[in-house]
Amino acid sequence: MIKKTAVIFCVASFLAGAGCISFKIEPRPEPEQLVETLVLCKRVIPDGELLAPVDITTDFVMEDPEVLCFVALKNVGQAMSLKWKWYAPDGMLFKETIDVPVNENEAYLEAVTAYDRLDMQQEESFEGGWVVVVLINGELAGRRTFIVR
Amino acid sequence: MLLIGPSILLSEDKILIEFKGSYLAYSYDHNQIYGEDVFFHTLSYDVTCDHLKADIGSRIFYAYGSVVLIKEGERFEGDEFFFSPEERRGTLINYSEKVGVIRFGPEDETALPSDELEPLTLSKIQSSLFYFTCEVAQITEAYEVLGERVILHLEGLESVGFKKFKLSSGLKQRGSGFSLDKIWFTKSQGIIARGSYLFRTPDRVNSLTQLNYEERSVLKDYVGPDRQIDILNSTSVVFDKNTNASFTGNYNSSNLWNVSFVLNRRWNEKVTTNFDVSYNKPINFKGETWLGFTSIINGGHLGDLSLAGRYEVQDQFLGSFAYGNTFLNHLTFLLNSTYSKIKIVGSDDFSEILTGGVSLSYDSRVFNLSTDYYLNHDLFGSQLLSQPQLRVGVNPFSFYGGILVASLTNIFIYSDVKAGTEHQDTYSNNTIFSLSTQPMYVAPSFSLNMSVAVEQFLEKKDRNFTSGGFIGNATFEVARGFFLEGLYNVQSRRRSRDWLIEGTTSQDLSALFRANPSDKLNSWISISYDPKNRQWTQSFADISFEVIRKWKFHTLINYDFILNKLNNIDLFLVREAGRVQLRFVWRSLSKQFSVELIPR
Repeated sequence: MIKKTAVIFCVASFLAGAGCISFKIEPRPEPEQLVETLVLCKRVIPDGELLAPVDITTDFVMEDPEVLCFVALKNVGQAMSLKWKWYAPDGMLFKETIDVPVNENEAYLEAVTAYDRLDMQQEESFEGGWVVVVLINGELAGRRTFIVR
Repeated sequence: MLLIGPSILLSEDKILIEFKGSYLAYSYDHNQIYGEDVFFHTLSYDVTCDHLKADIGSRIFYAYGSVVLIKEGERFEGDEFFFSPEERRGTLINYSEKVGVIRFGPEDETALPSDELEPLTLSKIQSSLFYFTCEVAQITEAYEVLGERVILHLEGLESVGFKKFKLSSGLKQRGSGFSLDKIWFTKSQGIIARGSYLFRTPDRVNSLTQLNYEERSVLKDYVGPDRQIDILNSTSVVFDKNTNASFTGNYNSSNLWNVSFVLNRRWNEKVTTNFDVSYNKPINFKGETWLGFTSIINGGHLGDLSLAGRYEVQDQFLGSFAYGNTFLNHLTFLLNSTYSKIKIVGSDDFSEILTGGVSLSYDSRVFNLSTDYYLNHDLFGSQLLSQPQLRVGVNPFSFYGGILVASLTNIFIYSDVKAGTEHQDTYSNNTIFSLSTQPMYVAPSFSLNMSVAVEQFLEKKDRNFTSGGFIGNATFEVARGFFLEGLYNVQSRRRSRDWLIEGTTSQDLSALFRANPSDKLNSWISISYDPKNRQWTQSFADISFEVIRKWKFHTLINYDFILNKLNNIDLFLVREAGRVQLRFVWRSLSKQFSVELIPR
């Protein structure tokens, strides 16, 4: 008897508590987040038809020749532009790329990989916390911070 | 049988923030939200952004891409917006010629947020075991997540829809209020109810009271008490950054209860003290009330000192002090002493013990030397134990081009016991020598390494032991990530007593095949043979591999050749799902199959 009461109480509580009635809902529009990977690394190597980051880190030393900001996009179906902006430890824009056109033919690309580099300079102003942002069509798509020691 | 749901009925938390978006997804596994083209209202501003990420567990909210904040004629634009709806503060960042920062809310200079939400990606959300998409997501003040017009995605497959659903249901994240957490009934335990009341004010008070109730009168043939009640309270109060207090209390209907109050005070960077008062009432014994303090002084180059004292109103006392310091980088001095006067259970007498220890050690690159003196004076039983020790060791050193590593340690202990007029002294000396090799590559994929150890233990009472052992290991890499290993070890222990020598020797020869070429396969199988008795002994296997999309198969097998039977086989099918793990388990010993959803 107790068991039966408990079962009824369980079902009633759950439905009442959750306040839910199952029904059909129209499917959502597909999400558009294109950035699959955004990392800082020391090297980039070929990986089939694409590129792959090697020595992923956010901690660099002045002896490193360069800092690479690698981005991998997925499900690219439209033409777009990519841009990198590098901000020095003093918060000022140190370097920016031009708008790099991607998929101008508007084909469907399952994956796109690209990177930009910051050449290390043996100057004291290089030491500290840096910020790099990646823009897609002029809008912020990702940001990473890193340290140069 | 488990009843769930009552807590939902009872929690009427206010909505902290509401998100509307063209796409909103909540991962139950990771307790995270991802959104696109999102609108929300916070800090009195209407906010729109391209993307939203929120980690509910760590209370981090992050909007990015074309962020716009609007309020009655005010308009701010930026690229990123980190905000805390609970603390009513936010940071808007704009990346133009310089990194522009606008702060909202309390005017303290907090550092710019790091990349904590970097791992939160749409792919991660969509690879969850359970995730929901919805048009509106609400987060309550208790950080529960509610969704409107919700679709459940189970292992990536679109499932049922709900008009409104508590997405984070079943997880313990709550704010102030009463909650009836669980009601259980089992044939062996009866009815069990658990409720709790939480009171908290941000950064100041946190008080949790829990009630556990067990009703056993419904059970047949149960001989214990009909019911049991447990009430527990744990409260912490932060007065300021240097002072906090905590209270814990526990009452059990079997007439057991205890309470304690602790006040912590940090006087400055070097001195911390806590004062405590506690009362403990065990079953069938008289209660005890203790008052005490502990103080820690970090004296830097003068050394560290800790003092503690506790007094019980029936004249019991505990006291201790310890001092430690390091001189000249290599010399360490430690001094400690304790005194206790404790009532002997069932009598009016007290045991009274004074202990003390002093240690001086020297540690260099080549050797280490340590001398200790330990004293235990039983003032009630009139016994005095004094025990000086001397330890000398040669630090492990490598030679022969770094291939061989050797170490040598010697420990000498002398004990002197005085009990009344009786006097007894003993000593022992223990010497340990070990020699091992680094892996020696005979060929690029074949390596050998071995180690030998010898130990001599001498005692005044003619109990002398000599032990020795050898372990040899050969490893052959068949292919990348696949290894075949052979292991041989022999152990011998000899005891000499006057003219009699007795001892044992054991040997083991094992072969092991190990495969861990990637994260998706990590397994090993071993088989052991006893050369001395010329028989196979045991075989073990630990096999783990990814079946599909974060589902892993794992099995543990043990076969005993001596008994000629399969001792144990456990089979697991595991889905790692962030903060929960779903496991289908079959165990041969209990012959039971179970499905477990384990919070991580």
